[in-house]
Amino acid sequence: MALLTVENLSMEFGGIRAVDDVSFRVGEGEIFTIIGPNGAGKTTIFNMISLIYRSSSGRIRFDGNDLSARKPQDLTHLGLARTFQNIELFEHETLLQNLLVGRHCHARTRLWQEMLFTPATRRAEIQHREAVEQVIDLLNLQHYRDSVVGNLPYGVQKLIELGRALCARPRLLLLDEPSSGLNVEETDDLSFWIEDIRNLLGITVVMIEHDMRLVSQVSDRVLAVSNGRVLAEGTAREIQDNPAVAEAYLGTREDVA
Amino acid sequence: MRFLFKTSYNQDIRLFKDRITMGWYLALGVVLLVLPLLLGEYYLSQASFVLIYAIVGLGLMLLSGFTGQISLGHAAFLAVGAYTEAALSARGVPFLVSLPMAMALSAAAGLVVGLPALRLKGIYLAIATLAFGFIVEVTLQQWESVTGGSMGLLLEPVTLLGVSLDSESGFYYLALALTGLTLLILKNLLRSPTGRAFVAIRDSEISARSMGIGLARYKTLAFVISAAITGLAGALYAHKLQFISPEQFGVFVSIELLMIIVIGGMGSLHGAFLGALFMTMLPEFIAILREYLPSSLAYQPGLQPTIFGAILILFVLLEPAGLYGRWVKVRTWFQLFPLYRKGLMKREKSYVKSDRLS
Repeated sequence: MALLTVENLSMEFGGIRAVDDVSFRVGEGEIFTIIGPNGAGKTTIFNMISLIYRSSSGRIRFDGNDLSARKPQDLTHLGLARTFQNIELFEHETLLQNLLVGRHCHARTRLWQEMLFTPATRRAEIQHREAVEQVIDLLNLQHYRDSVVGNLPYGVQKLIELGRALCARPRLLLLDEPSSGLNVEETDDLSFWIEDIRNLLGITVVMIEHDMRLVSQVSDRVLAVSNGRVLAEGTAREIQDNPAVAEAYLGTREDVA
Repeated sequence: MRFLFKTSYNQDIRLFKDRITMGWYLALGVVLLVLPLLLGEYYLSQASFVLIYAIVGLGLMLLSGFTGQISLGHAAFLAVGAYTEAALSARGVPFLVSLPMAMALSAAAGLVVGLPALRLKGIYLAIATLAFGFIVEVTLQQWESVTGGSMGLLLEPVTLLGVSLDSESGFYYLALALTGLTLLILKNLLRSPTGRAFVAIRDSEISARSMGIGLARYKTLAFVISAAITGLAGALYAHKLQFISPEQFGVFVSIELLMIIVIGGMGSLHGAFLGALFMTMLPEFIAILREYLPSSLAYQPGLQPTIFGAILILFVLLEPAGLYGRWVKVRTWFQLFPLYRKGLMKREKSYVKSDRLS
């Protein structure tokens, strides 16, 4: 059974159709990548899945739930977490505090308990901390634990965003261009982490990515979009050999002439 | 420089960083407890005012400093607390009942402002809260049957469990206890999920939401808690002055309250106290300064607001982190001596934020 089903999704901004009748399914435990030239509508698809935009038409189902009736803040509770293309961290806070916010959907303490900081609150806080430390260990972030994130290098900030999403213990992780702004070495590390996230933590990954080396290394299936429409779906190899995809990226012979 | 070797997660969530810090705060607590023995009547009264302003500062800090919602109408919450307390105590309601009621009514006012404020941001929110401040001020003037109009209301000193706290030191201890309690509750809140949610909303609404934080719920909550705390300060304020009238809760008071947290240092609980201390001491300094100014200048009616404004501008330009930020820098200078370099505290320019969530 598919974990995420997107059916006939469309989005219009004024008269412009940013996304036009896009459908795809992502199975449990898959790494699924969406590629496409700039302005193809990839991030718009992500923003619709994470309910930041309301789709003009179409349906998104996650784990049997219809997402159209939900609010963006419900998603982590359902088991769906995301990162952003441009870093969206809580930049005045330390790495630890940032990751602890990722645990918000697991917070069960009541307001009065927090105001009095009851033993139950203390126990819950320590549990959150333990969960966060596991993510810190996984991503090798120990060194930056108490640093204010606004001052950290770009690559580390990207990683913290990934970590924050992982702290929510999602079933599905949406990664919006995880390798943008990273150097070759960091991108290589990232490909291992993405595989670890799937293999060790059992989290399904849907990502938008441009770096074809990373895409072909980790993806089980690739969806190519252009001008808001689906061009092709298949393995990374199949997509790279697909003439329609090559045309969308490179143009046709006539364009050059 | 001290290095802390941590061996348990508990160490990161307790109130004091280590024994030395705890010792300093204990020392401060002892000084505050014996303060009535050290200060004369007048300065002790000023100390009580510092505590009242510190409570307001804490309330406003939670809303503006930690949740990022600017309020230019906080004097209105102060007024709701003060007038509720005045009205209830005049009808013989005991302090232990009237104080929570003053806070509750203030919190209700916070809810009324907080709900529509959910749709507003930045300068628009500031204008909406400013308008609320005007509405409350005009209401106080016009609703004469309850508020006494511009004649104001008179109050008796606080009577707590049958003991009249009409002495300066009695009131001081009451204010000190309530300040301590407010501080503890806020401190607890800020080390729990709710406090982190507030800070998350301040720094990035879009990712706060995608991490499961409902903006409506937490922004309203911040308004309600902030208003309740300010209402508490209002009730104390009313008893301290024993006379309240609408002009004590005007728009300029709201701006002075905002100055407390800006000058003290946005985003730190210490800042609320430093700002309150500064704002109480400033008129004293101005009074002393008057003696050294030519009389044509010294008794101009606009002298105090001018100096207040100039100081606010200087702080925003030269030390946006406020008094507490300056203190942290001085402390770091000593800790790192002689390795401190200029610009150590400067933050790197942050990357462009996406503004997809309008």
